[in-house]
Amino acid sequence: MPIANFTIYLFTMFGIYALFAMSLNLQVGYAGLVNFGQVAFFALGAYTSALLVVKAGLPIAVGIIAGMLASGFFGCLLAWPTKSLKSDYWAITTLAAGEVIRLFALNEKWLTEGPFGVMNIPQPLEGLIDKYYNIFYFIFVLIVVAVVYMLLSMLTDSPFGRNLKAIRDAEDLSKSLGKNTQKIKVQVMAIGGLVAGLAGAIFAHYMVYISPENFRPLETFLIWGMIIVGGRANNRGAILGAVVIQTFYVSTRFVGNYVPIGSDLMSAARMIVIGLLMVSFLIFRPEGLLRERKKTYPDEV
Amino acid sequence: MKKSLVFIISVTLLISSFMSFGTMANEGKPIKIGLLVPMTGTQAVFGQDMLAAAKLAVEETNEAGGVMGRPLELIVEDTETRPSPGMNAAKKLIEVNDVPILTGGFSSGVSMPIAEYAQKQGVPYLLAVPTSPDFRHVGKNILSVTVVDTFKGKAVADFAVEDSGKDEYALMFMNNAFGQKLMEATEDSLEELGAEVVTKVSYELGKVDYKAELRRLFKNDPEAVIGTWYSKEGLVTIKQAYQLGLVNPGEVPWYVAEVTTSFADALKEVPEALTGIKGLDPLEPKQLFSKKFEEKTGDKPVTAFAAQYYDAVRMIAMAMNFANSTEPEAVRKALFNIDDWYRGVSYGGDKRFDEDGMQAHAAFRKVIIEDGELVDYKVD
Amino acid sequence: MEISQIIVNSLIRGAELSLLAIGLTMVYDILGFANFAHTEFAAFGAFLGFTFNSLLGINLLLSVVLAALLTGLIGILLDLSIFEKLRARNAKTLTMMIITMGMGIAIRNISRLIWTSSTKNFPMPLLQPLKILGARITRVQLGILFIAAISMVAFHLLLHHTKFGKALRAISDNKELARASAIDSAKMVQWMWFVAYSYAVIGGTMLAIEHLLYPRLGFDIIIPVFCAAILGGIGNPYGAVLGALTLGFAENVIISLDFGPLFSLGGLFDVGSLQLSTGYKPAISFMILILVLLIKPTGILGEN
Repeated sequence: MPIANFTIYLFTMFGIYALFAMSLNLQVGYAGLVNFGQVAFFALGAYTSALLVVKAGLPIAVGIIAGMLASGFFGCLLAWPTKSLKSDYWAITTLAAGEVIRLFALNEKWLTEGPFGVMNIPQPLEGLIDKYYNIFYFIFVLIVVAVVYMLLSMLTDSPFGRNLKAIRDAEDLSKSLGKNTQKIKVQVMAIGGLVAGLAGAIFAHYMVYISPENFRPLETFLIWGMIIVGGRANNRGAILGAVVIQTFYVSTRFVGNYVPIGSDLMSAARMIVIGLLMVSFLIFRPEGLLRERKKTYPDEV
Repeated sequence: MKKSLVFIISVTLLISSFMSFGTMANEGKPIKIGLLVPMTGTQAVFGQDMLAAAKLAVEETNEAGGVMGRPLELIVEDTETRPSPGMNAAKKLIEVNDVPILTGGFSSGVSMPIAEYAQKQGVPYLLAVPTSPDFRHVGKNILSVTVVDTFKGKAVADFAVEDSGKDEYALMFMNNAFGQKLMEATEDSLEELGAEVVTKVSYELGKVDYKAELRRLFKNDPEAVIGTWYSKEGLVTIKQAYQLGLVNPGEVPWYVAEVTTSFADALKEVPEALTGIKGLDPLEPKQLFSKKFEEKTGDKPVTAFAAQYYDAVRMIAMAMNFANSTEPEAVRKALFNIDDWYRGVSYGGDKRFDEDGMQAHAAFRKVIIEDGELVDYKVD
Repeated sequence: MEISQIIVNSLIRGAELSLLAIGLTMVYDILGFANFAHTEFAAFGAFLGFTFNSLLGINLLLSVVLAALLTGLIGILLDLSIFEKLRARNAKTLTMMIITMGMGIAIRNISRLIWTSSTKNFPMPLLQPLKILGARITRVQLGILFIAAISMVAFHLLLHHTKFGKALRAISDNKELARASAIDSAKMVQWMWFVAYSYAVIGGTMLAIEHLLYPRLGFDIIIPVFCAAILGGIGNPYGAVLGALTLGFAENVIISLDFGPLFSLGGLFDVGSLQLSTGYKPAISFMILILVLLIKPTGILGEN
């Protein structure tokens, strides 16, 4: 059933993008840290895991964990010079950092193979499961999404999550209440990095091949579209957004077969739609498709 | 939660309806082949050209009776010059449209994962443009209509050394899989010939300012320059080199591995800056294809890539007719038998495969640019 | 390479960037958010100018002026239809910033839809460069420097000798006070958008004339333009100019520096020549940005 394979492939990609979108959502939705370079974390996770497994021969599980750590560490590093600054600085610094990571992957051939990309990335349990490997990987991604979703929900419902929202809504106030907002920001960038790194590593082992071309700024814009449309500060929103935007993106490929419109126009048109969706959602429905759950905290009432 | 569940279900239904639509269309009469073209992204400039050539090949095939008496049809998918959409495109062609064979492609970096995937799926992929030597080892299902980079690098190095007699060369190639392999091959060949490479510059694609790269290129006073570009980068480079006073082919000759690809835009926009630059052009000498192409589309083909796409489609059609089948393995085997019958329009026209499915032969036309035209050039 | 050539190249780069950075810094100063669509409008305006010039055959200078006016008007319209409403709603500056990012994506692709992704080249005669004190410079580049200088002077006059400029500075100094003293701030804000985008279009067109015009041009220069604005002290138009020039020099100097002698420790080790790979050229503005944020986030001319 080739069509079933294609559907499973699409759903696996939904899962990977959902993880990626949740990582951004934690930073933007909950903590109000505008990150325009999230693709850097995705790339770091993917490259670290792929290179450790392919070049150093480490087990895949170690590669994935190392990918998460590398990406989380990069989050801390990036947060350091900017932690005391306003969100505008975060935005431009992260945007630039995203490009620098891609340039590094492109130029340091001794380490990353440069433009050739990393080939023949091993897949988990690939010898053992043969025929239904697609389904296996899909279920694997699904489980990861579920676990990450639960962990993030626990985190955002905890006092830590409340601190995050406090920073987002009134940083000065939470500072005056004695919260160490700078430390919290660094922690959020680290956790967001961990999740994005995980998404990147899973992506690398799924695609079997990665190159700097995979990590252009376009990917960041797509996941921004996902969380704005799906709903900020709501992980279910991020997942829904990933499904909506990714479906929209792939379905234009099918539309192209039946409507005589050039691919370049089609590609421009779909990015116009994504850009306009971001603008109109923020104006007319800033909360996104799924509203942030306003939880009341009995201990604070 | 309910809302999102309903949504996910409706999305699934939507996708499957698209797909069933796809399969229904598949049951029609024409024989389909999958064509991967970069219609958007960094190399979109070439996409239109290559697609037009592939369509020309289909038209000619159908005028000559089609494939096994049935018309040939292209299913065109955009790779966006990025690996992930490229993979989406290939997966869709193989899994949804169920094509027996893939062709097209552009950048080696985008085509490599597709090749690995096609090899696994048992679907042959006849590469029309990508030239990384690594394709040789992917598997039996990966074939190519053009020679790999090692061959091209040697050709341009031979030309440069034989023509100029210079010893110290500066190289400038793009920082992608194609450019880097070609640079490696050129450097190796130059060293074999006893010449020295004094500077190597890799430039990033899609930038508008290569002044720093050009200054670097000329830093160690090279006696000659060898390089290659894509059309936009070629235009910027030559414009800026000219303005910096660095283009004096009389003193420091320039050799370009692929003239038409490098200067497609520059030949139109700034022909005066190119005078005296020499290079290789893989189009057939008599230019029959260019004339045909121009009659059909109103324009000359921008680059030899168009001819390669044309060759690929014609070769597949012929192989299917030879095999009298569209079964992937039969088509793949038949491709090895067409070289006595098919005369190609790119790289001298000889389309013999070696045992790995790569091309073993290629002829280049040596040219010099005069008044914005490519003129045949003979080394004295 | 000769020092004079570094100076010339840096001046040109700085001139182009500063016209873009002025508008960015002004919007930030008055409205309090970073406009990520700023450079996209510069590229869009350059496309308009290209269309007037090469398709309709209008004189180049006139085309640029027309394009600048038109893009300025678009700026006003967008303020009326989007930002004014959000301000009335007391929307967060964060929201505004994300909106500009979405807007930027849309504008960039609208340019692609109208003019396709193939590159455009302003029809300029290609001339051999002139030699001034050992540095090569083309007539087009001289023109760019000249126009940039005139634009700066005009901007200075605008800021200090017009009602608009005085009101703008008043709003910048103290928003509450300005409101109380009956300055029509809504109108001033619209004028500000107009000036910001007009200047951006002049800068964008100069970039396009010197190099090439293509839809992603705006995105490709966003980091250097932001870097210039922050380096000079965000919110200060003179700082933006200073920042742009500094960045222009830094980019050109760092890329031509040879770090070899530095690491050979006075000839102890032979490390040959060690230069930054040109592949990292776009990363220079990022490194400078990080340095500024670490050392003095308020920039050269910024108050602490």
